[in-house]
Amino acid sequence: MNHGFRLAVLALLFLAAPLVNADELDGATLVDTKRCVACHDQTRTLLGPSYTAIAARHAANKELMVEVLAQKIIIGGAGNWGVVPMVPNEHVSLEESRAISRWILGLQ
Amino acid sequence: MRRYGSLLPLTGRLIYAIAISLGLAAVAEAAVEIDGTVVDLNGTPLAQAQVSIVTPDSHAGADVMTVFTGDGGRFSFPETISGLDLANPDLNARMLGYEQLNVSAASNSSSAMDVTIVMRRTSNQAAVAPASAWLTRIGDRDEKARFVRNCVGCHQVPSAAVRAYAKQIAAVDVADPATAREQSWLAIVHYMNYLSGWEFGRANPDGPPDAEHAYYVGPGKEVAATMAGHFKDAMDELSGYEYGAPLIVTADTFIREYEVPGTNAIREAMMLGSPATLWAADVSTNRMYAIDVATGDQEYYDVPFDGESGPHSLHRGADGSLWVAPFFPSVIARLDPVEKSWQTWPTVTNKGEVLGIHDLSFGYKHELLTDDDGLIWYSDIRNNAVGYIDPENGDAEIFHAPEVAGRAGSGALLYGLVMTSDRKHIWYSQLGIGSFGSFNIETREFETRVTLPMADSGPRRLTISDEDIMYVPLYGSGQLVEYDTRASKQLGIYDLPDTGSAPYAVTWDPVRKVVWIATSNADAIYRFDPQTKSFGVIPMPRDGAQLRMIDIDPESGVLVSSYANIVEFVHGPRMALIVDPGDGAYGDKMMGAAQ
Repeated sequence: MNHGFRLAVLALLFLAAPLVNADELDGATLVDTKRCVACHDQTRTLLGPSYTAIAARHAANKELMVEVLAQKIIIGGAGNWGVVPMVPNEHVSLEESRAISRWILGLQ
Repeated sequence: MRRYGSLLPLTGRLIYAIAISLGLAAVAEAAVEIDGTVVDLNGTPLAQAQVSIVTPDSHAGADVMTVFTGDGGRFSFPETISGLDLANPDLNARMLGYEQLNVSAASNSSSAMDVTIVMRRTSNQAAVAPASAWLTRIGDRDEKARFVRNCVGCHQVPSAAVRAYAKQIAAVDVADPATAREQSWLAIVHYMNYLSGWEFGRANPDGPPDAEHAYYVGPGKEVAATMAGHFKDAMDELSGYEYGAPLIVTADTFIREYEVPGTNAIREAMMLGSPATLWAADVSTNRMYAIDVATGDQEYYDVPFDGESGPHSLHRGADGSLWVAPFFPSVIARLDPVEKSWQTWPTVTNKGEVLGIHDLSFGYKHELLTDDDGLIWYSDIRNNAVGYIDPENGDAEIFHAPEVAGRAGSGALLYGLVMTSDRKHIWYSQLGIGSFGSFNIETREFETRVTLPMADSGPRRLTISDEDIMYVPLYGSGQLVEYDTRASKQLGIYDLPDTGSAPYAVTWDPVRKVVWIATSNADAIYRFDPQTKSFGVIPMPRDGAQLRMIDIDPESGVLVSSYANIVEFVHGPRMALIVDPGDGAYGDKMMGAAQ
């Protein structure tokens, strides 16, 4: 399945799914329970960039990047931070990845 | 009851879901009998093709049922299916070297359906071939054995998820792809080590593992080097794989799969009682699930222990009880399946040594055996020892295994255990050092020791025949040892049909007089015939079918096993399953025959 098609499918699934109150999803908790912490730390570079480094890079266009990062969390892939691809995280729902994305981009 | 995910591609499921939402689906009111034919594009019938159906929620029974086609390409499900959507039955065919084109379902009536499935030959086997098919790339048997031993305890290698990651690596456009590949595989090993640390550290009071240092847990760098050396491409094209032995499935072979919700590790499964109940051990929730085979209804029973026990190894008691050995030091537990009552014994010796019990002593019926003094013997992986517990008073003592010449060092991992028919000897395997041996219960001394040619051969769960012939599956090297325990003589060591198959366990079939072999990495169960020294293959209905223990239901002769993928977030099914080989060996008691 190509990425474009996968995105379309994910979008369809989201539209069809019952709406979840995004306020109930806490990005700070999700990065722990979804094991993002295996590769990322809030301030240190581990396998991947720190959350604060991500927030700093995208400080100018946070609104756009909420959706982009949410997709990246699920699909994975390389390109922005080095040659090591991020693992896909298909166990993270789109609602959850949006909450994570919002939390990261809100960090100073 | 939760259902297993559809076998149809996601697009098919979406169309199906949309049809349902628009009210277009016609759901049968009566139970439907499903027959059909599988053909190729020339109309030639295909024999030994798998046909699976994901049953509707309203169906009482297995979550997924699978049959095979006979010589004329015909198949027939032995059970009718209730609540079936006649327009879109969730049917799927699988066959190595073919891809499914369509399902054409013609309803002859409201209670019968005749299906035609057309398949096209394809040279790309990537969608159907098991993970082991990719390991033919690793020509060095020692390297392959080490790689299997290091990875397949948690998931298949290279699983679909691993191959998807290979594709991501291959897509990165860099000047030095070899270095990038090494860095990337190191990263994935780090990630998996971290997840594994969480899973296996649940009983550890020190909390979660240190992400920064997870690299250095175990042989991570060696694993990454093997992946970087052999997994260089996008890993989406595969050809030339063969099962390595004849398929032994017929139109009477029948597989039933049951998913257990909310778990992340069905470590073992066993059938007990009449009518038979399928018991599944969930190491992640400290529960035993009881599945009604006929209705699919499930109940669960928590192991009575304050803390993590991790029910793991199952043994059949001679009185119909279920004996459960734990993953974490806690208690040996005995469940009375009728009264639903538990009895437990702490896993600690009289001297205060903490035990890591793996197997309890059992004989050729996979039934718990005691010695002449009523003691239950066990393998102790934590202390590299064998030991006993007296069920009358809880007395426990262990005996440390001697070092094996040339294989000294930590991590010997005394693992599988069987008892001979005279109940005076136990035989054990040592997973970590490629060795097996015996212990004399009367003299309390270790006797025979056998050192296998490969240090990473990985002997695991043993079985013994009614003539005291022991069989040892070599998980790492993909072989089977046949050993006469009365004569202390090795009869043979045989390559399995696929040496990347990671045979985890074997069990003696006292009626068929064969050995059944559950593989963790080949999506297959093998049958070994000691008379002809030949193998046969039963392919599983899905990829990621990481089998572990295998048992024979003594009443019906069906094979019982589980897909035992472990660690949260690791991809792959978690199901208990029943396989009726369809050979009629156990007569009219065979499950499904009376349906």
